[in-house]
Amino acid sequence: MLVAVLPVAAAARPKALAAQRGALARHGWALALGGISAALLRLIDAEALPVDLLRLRWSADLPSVLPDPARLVLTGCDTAEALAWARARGITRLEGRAAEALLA
Amino acid sequence: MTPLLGPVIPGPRAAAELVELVRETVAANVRREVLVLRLGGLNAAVRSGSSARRLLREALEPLMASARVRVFDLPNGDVVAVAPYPAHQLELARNTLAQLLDETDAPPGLIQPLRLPDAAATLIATVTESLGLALAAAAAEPPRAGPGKPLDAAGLARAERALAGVDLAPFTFGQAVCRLDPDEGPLSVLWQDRRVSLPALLAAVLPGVDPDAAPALRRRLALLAEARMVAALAHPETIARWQPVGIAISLSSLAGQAFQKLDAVLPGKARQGLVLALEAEDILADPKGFDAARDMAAARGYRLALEARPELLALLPPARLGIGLVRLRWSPDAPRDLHKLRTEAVLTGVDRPAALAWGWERGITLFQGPLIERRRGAA
Repeated sequence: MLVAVLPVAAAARPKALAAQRGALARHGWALALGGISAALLRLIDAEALPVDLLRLRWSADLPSVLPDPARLVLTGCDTAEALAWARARGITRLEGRAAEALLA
Repeated sequence: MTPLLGPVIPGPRAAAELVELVRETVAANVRREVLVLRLGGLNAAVRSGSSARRLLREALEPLMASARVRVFDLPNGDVVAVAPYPAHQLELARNTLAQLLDETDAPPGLIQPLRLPDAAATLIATVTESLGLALAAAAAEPPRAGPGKPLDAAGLARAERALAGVDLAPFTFGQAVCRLDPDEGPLSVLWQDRRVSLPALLAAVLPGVDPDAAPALRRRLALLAEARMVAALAHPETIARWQPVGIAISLSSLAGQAFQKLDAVLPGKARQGLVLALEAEDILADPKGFDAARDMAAARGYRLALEARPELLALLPPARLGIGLVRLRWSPDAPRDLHKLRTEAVLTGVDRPAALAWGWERGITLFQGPLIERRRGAA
C-alpha cells in the first residue's frame, strides 16, 4: 500500500482534500492525515475527516471513544503500554519502537 | 475622490479584494479577462460633467448588473472589471467606452484590457498605484513582468522594517455585522469586523516579491501585521472611544505580547465587545493552543468565534469546541443540506439576496458583506 500523508490542518479545506484524495486514488495511493493528538480528538468529529487513514499519536490521555480502528495508524507506539492499548482496541496498524520490536 | 459607481466594491477594500482575486487567479491558474479604466486620470471637468458621468455610468451599468463580472472602484478613481473567460460584457463595455472617450477628447491609454494570470504583476502595480504607494522600495526595484520572485532573508528584513512603520489604515477594511430578520426590518449594527488585507499590504511593502513562495516567512509577516493591528486597538484614543469590534487573530498572536498589552489596558466592558475570530486551520494545527485560548477568553470575557466554511461544521462542531459563535463564509455552492444551526452564527461574504435566503433557512440572522454595506448606504 502506498500512503501519502498530509498534516491534519489540511482538513480545513475539505474540497481540496477530497480532490487530492481522488487524484491519489486514481494512481493507487491512499491518503492519510498525520498529527492527530488526544487534544485534537476531543475537539473534532474524526469520522468526518474525508481521508483513508488517520495517524493517531499515542498518549496515555487518548479518549475512550475512537474512530473506526480500521482507519487508524497508531504512531509513537514505543512502549508495551501503547502496544497493549492498541491491541485492546483492535488497532492493527502500528508505528514505533515497540511495534518494530515485534518484527525482530 | 467621489466614486463614480454605486453598487461596487469601493475604496481601499476594493484594492484589497482585487489583490486577493489576482492571487486566487494565479494560484488556480484560471483565465480571467480584465478591463482597467483609468478614470482617475480623466480630466476633472470631463469626469465631473453631468453628461459625461451619465454616459460613463451607462457604459458601465451592464458590468455592474452582471453576476459574472466583479467591478472594483479603486481609491484613485480608476475602475477595474474582472470576469471569467469568455467575457463578452467586458468587450461590449470596452467598445462603448472607447467611443465615448473619443467623443470627449480624452487622452489615449485610458482603457487597458489585461488577461490573468499573465498580467498579474501589471494589475497588482495598478492597485498599488491607486493606493498612492509609490514606495521608495518600488523605485529601487522596478516592477517585473511575470511571477514575483520568492521572499528571501533580505526581503524579509526590508518587509519587517516597512511593516513596523507603515500606516495600516489603507490596508484595513471594515464591514458591519448586522442583524437582519427575514421580515427585512431595519438593519441593526452589532459590531464592526475589521481586517487587514495581507496580500495588499505585502504587495505594497514587498513589490515584485511572491510571499507565497516562502510560506513560513509569509506567516512571520502575517503575525507582525496582526501584532500591529492588536497594538492599534490598545491605543488610548481607540479605547476611549471603544466600539464593539471583531478581528481575525491567530492562536500565536493571542498568546503574544501585543495581545497581553491590549488585555492589560482594555476595560472589562470593552473586552465583552471584542470578537476574536480563529481560523479552523489554526485550531486543527494547534489544539492545545486552542484549549488555552478558549480558557483565556472565558476567564477574561472575550468572545471567540470559529471562522469556517459551512462544510467544516461537521468536522468542528461548535458545541464540541465550546465556542459560542461561528462565522460562516457564504459562497454560491454553500451546502444545501446543512441543517438549522444551534450556535449563533454570522454569515459573511453576503453579496446577493440568495445568501440572505440561505442564512435565514438555517436560522441565521447576523450578516456581513457587500450587500449589507450597500443596504446600510442606501438606508
